[in-house]
Amino acid sequence: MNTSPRQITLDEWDVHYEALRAAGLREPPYGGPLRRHVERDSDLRLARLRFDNSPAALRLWNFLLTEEDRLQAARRDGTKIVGTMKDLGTVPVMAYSLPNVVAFYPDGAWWIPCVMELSDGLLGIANTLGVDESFCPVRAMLGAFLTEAHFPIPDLLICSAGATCDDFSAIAQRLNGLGYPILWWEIPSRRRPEAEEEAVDLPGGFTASRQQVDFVRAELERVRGALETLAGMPLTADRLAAGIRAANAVRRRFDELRRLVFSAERCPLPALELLIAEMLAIHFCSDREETIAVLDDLIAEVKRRIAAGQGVERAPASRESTCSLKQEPPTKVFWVNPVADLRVMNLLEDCGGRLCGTEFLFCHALDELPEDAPPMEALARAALADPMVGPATQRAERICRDAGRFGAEALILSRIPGASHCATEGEIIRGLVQERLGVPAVEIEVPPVSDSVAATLRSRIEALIETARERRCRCD
Amino acid sequence: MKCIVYSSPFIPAEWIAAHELKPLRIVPRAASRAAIPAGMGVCPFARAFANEVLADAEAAGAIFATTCDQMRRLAEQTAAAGPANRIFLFNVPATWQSVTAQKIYLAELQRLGRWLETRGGAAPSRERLAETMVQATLPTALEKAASNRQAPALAVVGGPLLAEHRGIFDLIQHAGGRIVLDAAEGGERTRRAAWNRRSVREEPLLALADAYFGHIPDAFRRPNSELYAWLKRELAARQVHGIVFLHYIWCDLWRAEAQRLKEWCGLPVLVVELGDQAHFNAHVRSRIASFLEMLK
Ligand code: SF4
Ligand code: SF4
Repeated sequence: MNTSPRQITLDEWDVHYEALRAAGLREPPYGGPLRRHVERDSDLRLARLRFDNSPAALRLWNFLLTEEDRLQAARRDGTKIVGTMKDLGTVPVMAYSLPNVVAFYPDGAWWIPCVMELSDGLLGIANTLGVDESFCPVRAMLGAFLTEAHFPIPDLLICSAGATCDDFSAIAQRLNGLGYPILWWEIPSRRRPEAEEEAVDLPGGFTASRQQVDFVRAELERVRGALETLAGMPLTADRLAAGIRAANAVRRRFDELRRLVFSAERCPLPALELLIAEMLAIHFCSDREETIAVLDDLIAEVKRRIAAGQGVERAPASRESTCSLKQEPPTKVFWVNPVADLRVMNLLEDCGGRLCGTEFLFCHALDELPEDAPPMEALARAALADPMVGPATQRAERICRDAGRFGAEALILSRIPGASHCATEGEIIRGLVQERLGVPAVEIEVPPVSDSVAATLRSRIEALIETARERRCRCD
Repeated sequence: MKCIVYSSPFIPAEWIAAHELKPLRIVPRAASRAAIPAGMGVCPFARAFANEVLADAEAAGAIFATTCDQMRRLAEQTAAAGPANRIFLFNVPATWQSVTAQKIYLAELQRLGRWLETRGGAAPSRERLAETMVQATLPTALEKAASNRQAPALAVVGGPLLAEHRGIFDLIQHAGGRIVLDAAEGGERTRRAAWNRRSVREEPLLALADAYFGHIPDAFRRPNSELYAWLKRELAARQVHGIVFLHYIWCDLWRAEAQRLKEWCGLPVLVVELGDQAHFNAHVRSRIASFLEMLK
């Protein structure tokens, strides 16, 4: 069945799903209609989203929304479950190098209040523990541990500490104080090497001193020891090297997908699906091989659309601009930070924009790991390449590089409610982007359910896009 | 003598002094100067410290510590706003149980030493460091207030305090309380340990690192169990009746401890959130009065 790309509602998906089935849709075991996640898991927000209408996107959503089932199955079959917290992309590579270990991020509870439209009660539980709305939405994780309703309690909890946000550090410590043992490992604040120090190149274009890389490698050795004890087998250099190659197979696919989506003349994949896909990068959604299959499907679909000259963009915003750009191609927007409410990603296309780059706090999980270095060295370098462990200026520099690569015309900085880093970094990023690229930028704050501020968010994004179009008009 | 300013208790004054520079641990004042304006999400203490540093043209340099995200990030902003190389960001590890954490702290002391030289200091010999350490005096425990022994015994627990907010001690005493434990930053909790005399002679830098990094309990440490071990010992020793817990708005690290402390200590706890305002408002005053009333 060949349908033109479109964003459709959940109701439309019900009908479309039946049509696809009738046409012979083949699905993996976790497949099925999206509707069941609303009915079975109370993922109420789905009813308010617009989804890409491809089978590849259906598979992506189903994969994402069935992670708990995979973790429960892992628990039943004796696979060891590791909860990796905060580092976003390094420790899972180590965990997946062991055949009997699966890793996931309890931090992912971040999105539960949004997906369940607050019906989960997780934020209320966090409140009773003294972790109120002055903290980032990741506080939902506390409730998820206490209720045990969203993931099984891991056999081992590992958390990076040091140059991390205060929000997560405080919340993980609260969890620890409630009796959940945590293996803490230190990630130092990344700094530029001094004149007399050996400099080491990191993925993503950063550098660090040899001493800092060695410190992180020593810390990861402690993590390795804990994983070996848990798995009851050595995590050998060969196993790690194979794990790194497999992670790179995933990361190369992300690179290809992003390159195709950001550079295509017409936008072949909506912003929402791209955000969801990128989330798979950090821990493979508890199944590395299936992540590859899901990505392959998405890439094939995107290529097919590009070849057919098809895109998902909606008609540009209806308001008149001074340049009468009603039929202009969508404005290319670079997006910084994930949104607590997924629905806001739909807004981008509604307002006449499309993604041409992202930095959702874990761009280091998308960068290929060095394969020409010893595995632990490669992992240490990758951990230090986390944009959040270094100065905000360095993160801003990377954003400028990435935004320039695909011709961003505007930048949206999505402020995370309560997040300690958002208090100061927004100005730095915005300032550098405007200075280097000269494109307009806006900072918006997105709560887990943004309905009450939807009109404000829309008008701010529309104003940004209008400004970018006027600038485009002037440049022409 | 050139002066180096800092506020973190994890920065050893003796190390700066041994470099023939004057260590000046400052207690910033609220909103006295505002090159970095108050903003949503910005800790008033971290902001006030950054502003004091920016306004202080006399100091040869300033040291920030990475003990919280707010300080780490404001160090960057302060460095960008002032002359090059005037700010040093000292990486204090959050973890403390591993050899690596101890090595990182030690390496940072050495790096700090190199920076102090660029600010006009002179690298100390082992002997000079040892001598500086031996001459340094350790402040004694909180002087016993001459107040009524029948008054409720209170502990003040929390993070750092702006100069004006240290007035909370007077406020409590005027309201009829007797403070027997100062566990805020700058008080007894954040004092270094006594030197190991033998180590000072043999390996003074190691002794220095141990007295600071090895002994100061704090909310930011991972795990922060030593904070609770210290409080358990001191609360019992001082026969504390109640705790006044202070934290700044937007300080996640201390704020998250408030409820845990309440659940853990079995004592009445009054939580006071402090903001950018220099003075305590009527609400805070009446809450303290009611708290003491309840304890009597
Ligand atoms: S969103 Fe920001 S504040 Fe929240 S856990 Fe992630 S890095 Fe920390
Ligand atoms: S009060 Fe909290 S946020 Fe402010 S500087 Fe201290 S630890 Fe950091």
